[in-house]
Amino acid sequence: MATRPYLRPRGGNTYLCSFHYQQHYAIHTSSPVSKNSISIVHPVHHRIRYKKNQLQPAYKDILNTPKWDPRSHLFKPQYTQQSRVEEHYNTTVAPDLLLANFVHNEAVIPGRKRQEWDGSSPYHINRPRRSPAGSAVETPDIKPRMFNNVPGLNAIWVHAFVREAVRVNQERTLPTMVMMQQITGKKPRPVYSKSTVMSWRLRKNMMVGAKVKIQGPDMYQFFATLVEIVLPRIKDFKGIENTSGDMFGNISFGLEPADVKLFPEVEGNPELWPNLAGFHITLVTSAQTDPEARTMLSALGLPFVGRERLHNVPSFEALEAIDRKRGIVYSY
Amino acid sequence: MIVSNNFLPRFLRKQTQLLFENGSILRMANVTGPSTFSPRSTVDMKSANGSLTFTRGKRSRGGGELQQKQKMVNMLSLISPRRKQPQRIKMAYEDLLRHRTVHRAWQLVVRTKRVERRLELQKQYYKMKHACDELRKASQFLYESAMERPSSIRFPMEYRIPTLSPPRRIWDATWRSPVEEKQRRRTA
Repeated sequence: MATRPYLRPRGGNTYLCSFHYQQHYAIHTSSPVSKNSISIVHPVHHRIRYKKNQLQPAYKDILNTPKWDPRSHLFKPQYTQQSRVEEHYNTTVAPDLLLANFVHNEAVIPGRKRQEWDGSSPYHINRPRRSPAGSAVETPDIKPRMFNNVPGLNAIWVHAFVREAVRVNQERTLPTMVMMQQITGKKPRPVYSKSTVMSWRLRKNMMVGAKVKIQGPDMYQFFATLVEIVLPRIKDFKGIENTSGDMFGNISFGLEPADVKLFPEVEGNPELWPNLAGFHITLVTSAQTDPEARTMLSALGLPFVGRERLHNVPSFEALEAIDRKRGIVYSY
Repeated sequence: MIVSNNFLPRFLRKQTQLLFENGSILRMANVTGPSTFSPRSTVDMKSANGSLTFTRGKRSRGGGELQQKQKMVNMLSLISPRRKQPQRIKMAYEDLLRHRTVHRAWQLVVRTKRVERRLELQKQYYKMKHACDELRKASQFLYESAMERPSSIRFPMEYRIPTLSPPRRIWDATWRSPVEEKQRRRTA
């Protein structure tokens, strides 16, 4: 793996430099440097910002206790009760998914990669590779489905854009942030606008939304609430669209403000939540393709509706071609 | 902490105002139930929440704006960890030893389970692979028909996440899979 020349560590003394470096890097001094001398370039002291208040002796043991130590102020006990969804996945779903997704004698299905130049011209040497054929970015290889890569739910992102924050007041994001904290159990981060669009009265760096990522038992709890309580009570809800997906196993859908009111934390005291925004939910899975992710989520109780889009799933002909290269030929 | 009225249940939201000579107003935010409530008399300080809150300020015309700001301050305080951090646990040495022992034992149990699950999946995978190899040797036609899989695989809704207590309807003898149901309807 060749490294770029300017990133390689420089050998020899970094402090003692020959005369010609002195012109570029040394600090200008009043005394002129004589012809045959070595000029010393002093090392640059990188100053690290620290809060001096935190180095006081009273904080010594607080800062030195690790997060997993129960005496730490950051300690959060996990698994104080059974995680229903996780247990169900580990016990029932994973073995069934292994069986459902099993393909005998599978080969690695290569993704679209950057193309090398063929060398027909001498200028091809050291030229950067071309962009992939049929895609702007590289796509990952689809590895054979084994016992160690059964699709599972890794994380859930909840992201809300509050339109009133643009039109009226940036404080309008706060009720939605409080609601997200109550629902997910984790404090959300504010989302700031990245560009200015005068026709929408949008300025750069306005607080316009919030997002939060949940993992682990909190995630499974949120997922169970969603699938068992909220989604069944949404009017005219038949399922998540089968076309939803980012080609690599992550499924997204959204909830309207009326649907958000169905969460038990909000439904229990509706007068506390006058202005709420809806949000997008992104389910980040370890599936390699969207259909696999949908299969896994259907096992956990999420319904799907509509015609499936088989993005990034190689066609039968493509699979046959790969097998033919390995010497396996099918006769029909 | 100052609590806004809108964060309280309706029956607790009644407000009392004591007007002083200098023009300042003492506003009580939490009061007791309607039966003992009397606006001009002294009010029982203990509220349902158990907390006592006051707002003191000069008489202002923009009461609505102040309320709005108060609401926002309350919401910010709900999000922030200020004054909500639990007390740090102080452990004696023996307690620490007990905790460590229990924690390590539990981690060992979890790890054993995880390794066992992985081993189960591994065995399952290699059994399936072996079965397919044997089938291929036995009959090419059977092998190829076995290798056909649907492009879209879904688990039914009835394959639900189990609960501690059983469902209201434990067993449905008349259940048919959606595919079967469609076929039955077509033929009928």
